[in-house]
Amino acid sequence: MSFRIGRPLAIVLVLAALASAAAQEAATGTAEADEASAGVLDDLFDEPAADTVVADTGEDYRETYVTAEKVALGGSFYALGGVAGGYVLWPTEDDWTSGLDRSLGAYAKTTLTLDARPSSIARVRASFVSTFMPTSSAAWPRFSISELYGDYAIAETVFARLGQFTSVWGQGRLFAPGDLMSGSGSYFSLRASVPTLLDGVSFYAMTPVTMAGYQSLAYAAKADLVLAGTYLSGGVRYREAEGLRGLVSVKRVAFGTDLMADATVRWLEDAASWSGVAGFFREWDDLKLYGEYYWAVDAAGALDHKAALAVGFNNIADTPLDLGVKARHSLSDGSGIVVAAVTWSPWRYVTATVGAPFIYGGDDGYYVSHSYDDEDEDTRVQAQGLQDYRLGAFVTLALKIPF
Amino acid sequence: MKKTILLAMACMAAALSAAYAQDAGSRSALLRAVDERVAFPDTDLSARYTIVKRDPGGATSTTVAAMFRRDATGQFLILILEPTADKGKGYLKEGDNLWLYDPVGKSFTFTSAKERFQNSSFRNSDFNAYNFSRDYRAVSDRSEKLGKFDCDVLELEALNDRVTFPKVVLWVSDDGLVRKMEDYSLSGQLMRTTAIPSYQKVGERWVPMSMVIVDHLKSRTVGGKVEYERTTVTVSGPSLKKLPDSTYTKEYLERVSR
Repeated sequence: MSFRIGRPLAIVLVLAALASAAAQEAATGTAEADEASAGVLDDLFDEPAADTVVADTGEDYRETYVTAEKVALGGSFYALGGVAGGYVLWPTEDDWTSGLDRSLGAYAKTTLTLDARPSSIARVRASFVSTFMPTSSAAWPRFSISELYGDYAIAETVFARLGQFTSVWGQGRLFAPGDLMSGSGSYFSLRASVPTLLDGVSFYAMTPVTMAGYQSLAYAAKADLVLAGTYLSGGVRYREAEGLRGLVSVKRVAFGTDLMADATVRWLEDAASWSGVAGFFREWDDLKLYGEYYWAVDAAGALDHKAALAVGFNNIADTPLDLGVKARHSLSDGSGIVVAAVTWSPWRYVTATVGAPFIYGGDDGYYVSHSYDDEDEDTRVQAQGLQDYRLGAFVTLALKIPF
Repeated sequence: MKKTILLAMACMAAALSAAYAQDAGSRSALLRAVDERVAFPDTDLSARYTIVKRDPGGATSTTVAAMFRRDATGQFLILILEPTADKGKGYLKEGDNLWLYDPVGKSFTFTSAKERFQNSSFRNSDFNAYNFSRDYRAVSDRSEKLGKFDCDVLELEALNDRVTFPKVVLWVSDDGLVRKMEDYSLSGQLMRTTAIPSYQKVGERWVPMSMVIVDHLKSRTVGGKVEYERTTVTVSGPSLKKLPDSTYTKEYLERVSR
């Protein structure tokens, strides 16, 4: 049995990396500490470098990105291996060892990116991905083009992008009903953007890789506006087979907390279905917290709703350890999953993780019968994963080298 | 007799009130002068920022970024050049809010502009030109020697909640340049100290040459001595080249991201 050790752990890693330490230093926050540290930089003014008059370089730093490097190669190498063990089924009362299982897994992924900028108005970009999984039948030949597109700017007014690329709509981090462009990375698309109209207006025309006539084409448009500190966005997407879908997004920062909401509607065959997500994000110096509530009402009027919370602490108890916890709960069927993990980076590029997943609910519960990270790219290449463990533990070691 | 005493008291109150108003007026004028020294209202300012963060205990990390700023509209755009892992990330500020672009997820996040830049003591809002005269009022002032500088020391209180810190103490040298800042929480706890020992003059205005920031909330006792997180910011190659409006847009950020 192999186990999935990709995105769920990556999410935990990200959460942990985003996380912040619970404790502030004992030395801070006191009047004594303030007094002791008040003049901490005053020695810099004893013999400072003299103020100088410098010539305006006239340098266009945009060139640093736009044309300084005509062709740039980049990418990353990522490898991860580990072991997991636990209950794949709840044990029976008379045999506490029933349902126990263990597994071993490994995974590697290489991304190579080519970025060519022959002039300030044109750009070509391509990303190639290959994966390796020794516990499955296929290895490096899992080769794919993840993006390949050209950019063209018309008089710094209209930006056009043509090719295979991913567009992301909506604001949900844990639930993403607002991403009406989900799957756009597998389309061949044309996007024309007018960046200075409102806070950006974009139009899209997209076709699947195999175009079966004009019916398979999809069209979309989106407009963004920031009004009195509130972000407002509206978008529509139409495809004959999928119907007309609409998105309204709102976001505002209040009392240091990001508050957001997405609402979507879909009309198909004279029936409407609705979905949405509302959530918050709050960041302290060493603590980050996300919370989201998701709801969906199908054409028959049935309600499905879920909630999720993710929290992360950096440098717990003043150690180099980071802790991340992500919990998802279905309010419709009572199932849910909690994943907690502690990460540590002993060396540059290397991250070690120790974690524990816990899945609860009835056998037909959403989080019991589904992979708990449906959009995980690794779930598409590995049939089995950590979601098999109702209660378990895992240890992994990851190497990520960007270049 | 009673009338005379009342008249004298009224005169004293009027004199004190006039003196206070004069003080408040001169402090406001000083804050306006401080803002004007470092603002570029007629053009764009571009520069390269090198930000070195040293954690308590000694670990260091370096971020290099290109910064584009338009003070007339309160916008800026930041593009990360180093480290490699973050290259392509970008920040676009509009008003009091910020767009973050993640080139891996191909997504933008709209958030507050007060957060830490690349997890250092430098805040996203620190890329802005000062706007002390709009955001704060000076409640007291005194004269003080800061190394070789003769400074006016102004204690400021925020006039709105758009600012990162509700209380600030400024050391302003004779030439109207801020040399040192202490940022405080509402309860009066010292949060951060910033030193700007030297400036560079570009055109008619001034840009810090280097800044050193100490984060008083991030400390550790090493060898019996308290060490704070220390961030050094070096600003190089300032340019006043005018840039097209489209530079300060999400689409531009996405287009140039690598």
